[in-house]
Amino acid sequence: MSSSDSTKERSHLFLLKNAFNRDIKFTNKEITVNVHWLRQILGVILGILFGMIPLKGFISFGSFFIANALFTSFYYSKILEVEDPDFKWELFQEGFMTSFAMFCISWILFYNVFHI
Amino acid sequence: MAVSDIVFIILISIGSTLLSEGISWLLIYRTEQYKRSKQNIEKLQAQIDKIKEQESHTAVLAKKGKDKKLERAEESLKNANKDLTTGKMKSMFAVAISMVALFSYLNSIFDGKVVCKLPFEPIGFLQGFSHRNLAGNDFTDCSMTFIYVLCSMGIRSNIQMILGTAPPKQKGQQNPFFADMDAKSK
Repeated sequence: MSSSDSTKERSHLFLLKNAFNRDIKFTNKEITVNVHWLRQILGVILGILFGMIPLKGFISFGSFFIANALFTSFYYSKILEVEDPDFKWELFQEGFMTSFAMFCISWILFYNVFHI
Repeated sequence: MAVSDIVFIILISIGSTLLSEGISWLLIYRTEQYKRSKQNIEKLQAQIDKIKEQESHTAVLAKKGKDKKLERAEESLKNANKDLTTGKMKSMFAVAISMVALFSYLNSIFDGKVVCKLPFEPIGFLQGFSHRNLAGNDFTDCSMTFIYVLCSMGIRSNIQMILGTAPPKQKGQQNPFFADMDAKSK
């Protein structure tokens, strides 16, 4: 991490667009931002999907937790190749509750739109 | 019960977040003092990260001096965080009052009304939120409170994240799975 990297701030949108671009070096803070937004997007997409199917009950909570955990850990360990266990744990928690709430909102909303 | 009710609550939640962030901006974020202390915190955090990074490369003998330095930096970070929080008090108070007012307004609109059907049956204590002020025993009926709480959990923090006003996270939460490993390596 060079000093010019840490002083220059890049927008969240730019980071998200390049989330899977391996040519770009991210600082720890930027990785956190990326994980956060990818999680929110995943939460909303799963919510819409489950609401449209409709998947009901605790099986969809389970699927959400598993999908969310797998996706996030795959993202930071395989694509970004983060190795520090403490930082990994931090990333694992990052934005989890918010993404869960986003999932619930979109799930409930789409379930009501299509099936009630 | 209609979808428009859910959308209405979601919109209210977005609106109220923007409003409360607006109030906070007026009272705090634009002040020089806040900007200065925020910069200060970021600087200290960067410093601590750097020391920690160096520490992992240096030998045990050189560590003692570094540890002192780290301790001092962490101490001043804690103080800086405290300053920031006390500076925020005033607007947090204003925001809290307006949120309570908004919530009681929503409560009066949706009193006893089933806002939507839940695709699951909430467990135990959650029923207190989801079935608040509702008659009947069908626990998939959902009251306004539940949707509102979900919105404030999800949408609110995301908007704060976009605006860059999310409260700084408290560091130092240890990974429970690797806590042992840390202790051994020290």
